[in-house]
Amino acid sequence: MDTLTFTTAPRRARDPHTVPVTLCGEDLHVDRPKDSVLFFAQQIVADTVSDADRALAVLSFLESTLKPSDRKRYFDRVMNRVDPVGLEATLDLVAGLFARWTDWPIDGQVEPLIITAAASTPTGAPLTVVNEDLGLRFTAHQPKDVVLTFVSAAVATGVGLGQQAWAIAFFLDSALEPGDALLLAQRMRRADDDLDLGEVDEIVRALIQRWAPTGNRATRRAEQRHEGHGEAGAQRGAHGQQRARRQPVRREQRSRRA
Amino acid sequence: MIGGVLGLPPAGPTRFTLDDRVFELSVLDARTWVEALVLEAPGCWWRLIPLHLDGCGAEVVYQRLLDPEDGLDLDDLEQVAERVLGYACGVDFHLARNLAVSVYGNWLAFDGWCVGAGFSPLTEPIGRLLAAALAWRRSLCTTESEARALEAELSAVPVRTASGRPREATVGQWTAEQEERMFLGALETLGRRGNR
Repeated sequence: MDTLTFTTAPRRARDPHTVPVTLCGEDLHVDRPKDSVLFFAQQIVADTVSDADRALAVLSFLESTLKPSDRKRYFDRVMNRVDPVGLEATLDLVAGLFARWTDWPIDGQVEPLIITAAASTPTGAPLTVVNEDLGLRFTAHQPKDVVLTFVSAAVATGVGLGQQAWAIAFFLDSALEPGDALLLAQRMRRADDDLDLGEVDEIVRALIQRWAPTGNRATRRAEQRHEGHGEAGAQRGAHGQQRARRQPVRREQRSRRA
Repeated sequence: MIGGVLGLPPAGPTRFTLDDRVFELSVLDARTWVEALVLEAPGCWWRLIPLHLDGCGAEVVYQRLLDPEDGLDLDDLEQVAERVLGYACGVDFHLARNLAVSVYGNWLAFDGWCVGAGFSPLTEPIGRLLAAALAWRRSLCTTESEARALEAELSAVPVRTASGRPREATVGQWTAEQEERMFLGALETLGRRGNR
């Protein structure tokens, strides 16, 4: 059988098309990614893809575009419940970068991308998670909408095990007290512990269901605008209290020991 | 004479190496080929390479494309796919694509012509279907000018790559014969317009 042989040429040296960005008060410089990254990112603006696929496309775009240090900083800020970088700021960042790279000025003098967003700490009340079989009892705080969107997309779309594990760890780091998240991670690594990815995955799915973002982008923007103001804000606050009175998440998980 | 014929298509799967990793495109039925080839670029090759690569070939290529440190980009993959798919068809990829588009849009006429010739296009390998498509298109030409126009139509190459860049002029492949044919074809077209 004949075999055709190809060798990839070294990456072409081209103008990096760097966009200066101020993301909610912090400066970073973002270089244009590979063509293939932009090609796959077209799903973000496509009408025919599901929300989960769109969220994964955003995640993939950020992972392939931001420099490692900026990427770490971005995810740190996203996990921080009082930092303003959330879903709206993320979507504005992606849209702004796209707009600049698809219409790059001939003189290279690109307009800086300035993204502002009001801090919107999640309003859901903390939930107590209990699994007596596995000796689990910890408190989970509602993470930001962007975390819920990324993690629910990764869980729903059946991505590879590696990415699911990353998504679960990302969720736990965002929702749990640092000590609890560390303890869970350590227990999952221990060979003699019954706590495994499957059990934690079930807990994460239950929590996401409780806190899943609702409505489309316009609805969420409107909610943000009304938050804390006037009648709509008051109604939303009442709704939040109603949610807070719900029972703690109690997973009747069957231990492998049982 | 239509250019872009590469020789006998392979008898089995098409194997190629990309940066020392071996990939294999399994034998696909003619319907799968035609339904992919008629898509707008890059779908016309993406649906086949990498999506129909054996094993975890598609995943490997996808991860490489997203890896910022990896030199493999969309246009590189397009070049590889066009070469491999052309080899699998036995003709230049763009000729294969143009033929597929012409029979897909006129399936009843083509299939009817095939019935008359005792040929069942969807049960044959893609190379045979394309050969039949070429014979069918040629059978419709009654004058030399129509034959030249057909040649120009089937030799057409997209002006841009998958990433949107203009295709680099392939100077080495542009022969004096081709230039003459294109010139005569253009003259013919202009003459037809002038006679209206």
